[in-house]
Amino acid sequence: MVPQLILVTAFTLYPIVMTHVYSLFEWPGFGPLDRFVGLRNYTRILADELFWNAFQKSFIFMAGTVALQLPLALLIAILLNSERLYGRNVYRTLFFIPVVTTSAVIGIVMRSIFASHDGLVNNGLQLLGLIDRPIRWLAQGDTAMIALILVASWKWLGIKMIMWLAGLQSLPVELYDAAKVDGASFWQTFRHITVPLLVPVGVVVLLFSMVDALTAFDLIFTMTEGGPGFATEFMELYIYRYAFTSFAGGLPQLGYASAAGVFFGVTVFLISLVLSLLARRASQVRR
Amino acid sequence: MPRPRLALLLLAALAFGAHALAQTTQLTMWVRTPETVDLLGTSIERFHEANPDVRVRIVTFAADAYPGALQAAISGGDLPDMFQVHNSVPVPRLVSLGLIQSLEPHFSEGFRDRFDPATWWEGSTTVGGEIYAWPDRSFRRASLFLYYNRDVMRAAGLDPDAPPVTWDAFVDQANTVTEAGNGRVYGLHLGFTSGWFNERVILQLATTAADAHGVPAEHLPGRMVNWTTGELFDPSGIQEAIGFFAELMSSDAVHPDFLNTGRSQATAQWAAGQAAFLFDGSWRLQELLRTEPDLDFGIAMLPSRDGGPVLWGVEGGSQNAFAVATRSPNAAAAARLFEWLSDDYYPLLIEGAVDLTPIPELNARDELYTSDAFRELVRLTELGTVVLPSPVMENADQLETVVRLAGKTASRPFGESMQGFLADGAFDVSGFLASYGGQQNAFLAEALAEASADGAGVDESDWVFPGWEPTVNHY
Repeated sequence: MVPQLILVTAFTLYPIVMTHVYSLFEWPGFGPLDRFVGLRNYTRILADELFWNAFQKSFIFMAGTVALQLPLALLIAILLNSERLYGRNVYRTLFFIPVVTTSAVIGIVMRSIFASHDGLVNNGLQLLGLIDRPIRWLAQGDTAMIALILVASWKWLGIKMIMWLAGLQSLPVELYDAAKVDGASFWQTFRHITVPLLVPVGVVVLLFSMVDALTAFDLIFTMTEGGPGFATEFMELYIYRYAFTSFAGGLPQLGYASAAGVFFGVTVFLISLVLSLLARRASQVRR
Repeated sequence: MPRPRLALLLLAALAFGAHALAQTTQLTMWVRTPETVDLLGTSIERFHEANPDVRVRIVTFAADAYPGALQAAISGGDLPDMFQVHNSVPVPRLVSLGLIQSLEPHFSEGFRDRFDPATWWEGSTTVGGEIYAWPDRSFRRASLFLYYNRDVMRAAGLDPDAPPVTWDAFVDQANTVTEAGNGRVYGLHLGFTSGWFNERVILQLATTAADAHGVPAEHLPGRMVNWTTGELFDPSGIQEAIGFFAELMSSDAVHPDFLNTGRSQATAQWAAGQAAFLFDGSWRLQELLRTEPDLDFGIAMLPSRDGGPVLWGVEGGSQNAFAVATRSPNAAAAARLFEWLSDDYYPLLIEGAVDLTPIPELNARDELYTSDAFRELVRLTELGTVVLPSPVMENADQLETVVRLAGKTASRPFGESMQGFLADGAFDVSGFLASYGGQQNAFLAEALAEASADGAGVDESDWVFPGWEPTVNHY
């Protein structure tokens, strides 16, 4: 118990507490921590249009990846759950490979795949006659966001598929047998048996998808670096730039970055809390 | 051999090895300028042969990752023996925090006299007249140039020895190449993904605009100082420079991936024939000479509005100097290394086509120049690099203002904003420039007030040089 307590205190509680402390100081991350500024860092972030830009982009990205991943992963899970599908394990492995591939490597490779000049995506779309001229995927704000959502969804699809699959395989077979006897169609079975029983699993998958989307630093950094401009600068990148780089040629601003981190952390915590309550409620309904 | 005897021999060998290691002074050196890493490595190998009691280990960093690494080392009390300074933590601040030590007591008598006197510049390499940092090259450094691929120009029917000098000529030639390239080859390429680089491109081009008054400089990142008025950021001419870019983009004469391609990749694509012209730093030359020996290319000044020089400001000292951490017990060995490098590594800088040295006598040695392209680079540097006025030279107390200014940054950085504008166009440039310039000028007033409140005898008059001529070296 004691070693565990020490580890939790050193590596979880201490950093969280110190982040809150730093957020009350004007501090570049070195030298004496002696310029107490109270809540000034918080008032600064609330007035910073780039902070709200990053805040908004983070949630757009999260909504995009969640909306794409959840149904697609469920669909694939249902297909791979079918005993009639030959080579199910091979497909499962194939969908899981991106999950275990380093995000930074994916980001770098995707940069080439989405390139305007000779990029695989543009070449494919031109070959199919869907576009006349290459799309500047990563050189325009909107398309860069779309490309990131597509890549991130693809990367994490496998783990969500496995989670759905585990949920599907835990459903009682008798219910499906009874539905079959009653003459229910596939859609009726899915709508009235599978979906209600999968809601608790769905909430967990949703929670994990959101967390994945809000911690996508390595993928974003290597694929778009937050650009063009600030079009794909999400909160993690925003915090990193202020905390660890000479953003705009000046000293790092660890105190300010801490305030942004605290503000964003509280927001994410509240969202997670709501989702956890939903998950608990869904479990109770199921019982 | 019996086993106990073998074990004893092994133990003795280990003990001897450990003793030898203990006798050797180990130095760690952090380097953030990739163009000098190999040269430093070569020279340090020779240093090891001449000084078997010292071992130097070089640790290299990507330029963009260096400020974070430096910050982590400072906050963790873990600075290496020697490290390259960075403008995010100026030398006077390092001194005031007690993080670096004076090298003055360790250098030989007369060491500093060999150097161009402006190398020892207060607030850069010296503080209070004492040397705190050893310069890795001359302060008279160039910034960006136009590299032109002669093969691509030839294929487009252009004269491969007549690169464009003016903006109009550049647009014409870039369009010609793009039309001839049929969607495979473009006029211009550059890696426009790093804020500091984007800033330099736009601000340097802006120095040649019709109503330009300011000059950008490495020691004042994010600023475009008009030294006649003392404004820290004079936006005149910047919109005209952006217009030049927008014109190139409107005719698809810029490589379509320039906004999402790093500088190294852009260079590789240009060298592979995807573009006729490349905007990149002087530091790219040595890499091209080394890695692309068959590439037929030339170097020229960035195009300017009317054919005049594109300006870049410098002050004395060194922006990439090496300092020695206070926590290092090996300052004497570090100073010995710096003296060695001054003799052995500086000539390599010229031979390797990297940069000029801070020692005029070396720069004058004709036999060191092995590349015509480097000779041209030096000639162009003379034309475009100007020594700016220095408030610190007028009033030493202004060092306090300069240190405080380093901690003040605009809410929306310039270089990234330019990338965003060129990507989408949905951006109010004039509004941005007014807001950005207003913030920068307010920073100067704030820094002066803070320095003054802390007892420094400073006011804004030290920042005003009524007779300043942008194209003339001030000192």
